[in-house]
Amino acid sequence: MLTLFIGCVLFLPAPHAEQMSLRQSLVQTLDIIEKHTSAVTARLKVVSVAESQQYALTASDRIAGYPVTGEATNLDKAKSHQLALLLLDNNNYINIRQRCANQYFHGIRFSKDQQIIEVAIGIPCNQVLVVSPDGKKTKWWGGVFGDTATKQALQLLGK
Amino acid sequence: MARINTHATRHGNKTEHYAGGSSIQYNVFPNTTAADKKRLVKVTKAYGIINNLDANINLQGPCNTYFKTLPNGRTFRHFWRDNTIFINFSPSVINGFYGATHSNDKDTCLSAWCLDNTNHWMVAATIVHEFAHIADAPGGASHDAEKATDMCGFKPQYDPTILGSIKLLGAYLEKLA
Repeated sequence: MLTLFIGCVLFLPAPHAEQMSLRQSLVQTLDIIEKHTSAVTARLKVVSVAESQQYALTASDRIAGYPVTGEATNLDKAKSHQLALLLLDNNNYINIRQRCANQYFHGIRFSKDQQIIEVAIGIPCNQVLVVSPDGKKTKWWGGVFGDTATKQALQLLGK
Repeated sequence: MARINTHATRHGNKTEHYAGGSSIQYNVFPNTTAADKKRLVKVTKAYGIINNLDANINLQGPCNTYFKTLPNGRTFRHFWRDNTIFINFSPSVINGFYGATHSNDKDTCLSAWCLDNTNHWMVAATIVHEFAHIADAPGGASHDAEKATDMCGFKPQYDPTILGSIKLLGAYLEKLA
C-alpha cells in the first residue's frame, strides 16, 4: 500500500510554479509604491518588448519603457494610493496563460524621494508590468489582472 | 497526435473560471454556419502545417531543443504527439486575444477573433505558443511562450510586442513551404 502511495505521489503532475507576488518581488523598493508622494499617469504606445526594456526608467517621455502619447496627468493622491493597494494585492491577479497582443497601455509613474517605480497596464490583455530600480539595473515583474481589478484600475485612472 | 476538438472526438466543452469574473471557454469547434466551416478549414490547415513541422524538424533542432529548456523539459514532439491534448474553440472576439491554455495542461483554445482575422500561419503559430504553455512556459510577463513561435520557425508570425518575446531567431517556414 505504501509503495502504491509513494508511486502515486511520484507520478502526480508537478504543479505550476507559483510566481512571486509583486510585494515579494519589490522588497527593498516597496516603499516607493506603497508610500509614494506623487503619481503621474499617461496613455502609452505599444513598442517591442526589447525596446521597452532598453528605455525603462531612463526617459521621462516613457513609462516602463513605452512612449507616452498625449499628455501625462497627475493622479489625485487618494486615487493613486488606492491604485497602489490594488496593484500590491496578490488576489487581484489571475494565473492565466494566453497569447494576447495589447493595443495600448495605461502607464503610471509612482515617485518617492527621487526614486520611481513605473507600471504599465495593457489593454485588452489586462497585463500588468512593473519596473523598479535594482541597483544600476531594472527589475521587471509581470502579472495579469482579473476583470474586476482591471475595471477598478481604469476607474481610478478616470478611464 | 494532439487533436482538434470536433464533435467526432466527443471531448465536449469546458470553461475555466478565474477570480474576479474572468473565464475562458474551451469548446468543440462548431460546424453549422459558413463561418464555422471556414474556421474549421483554417484550424485544419494550421494543424497540417504543424504536422509537417513535426515530421520535418530534427529532434535536436532549435524547436525541440528550445522546448526542452522550458520547465517541463520535454521536446515539442513529445507534446504534439500526445493525443490527450486538444485544440479547442473559444468564441471570444476580443481584438488581440489569440488563444489560451487551460490549467489542466491538456486543453488549448483558439479564439474566434484569431480564426476570423488572421491566416492559417498565424493560427499555427498560436498553437505553438499555447503548446509552450503546456510545456510550462509561464504567463504574466514571461518571454518564453512567444519565443517558442520564433524558435519553431514562425518568424513572420512572431510578434515582438507581445509580452514575453525578445529574441528574433528561427527559420522562415512560410517561405520554405
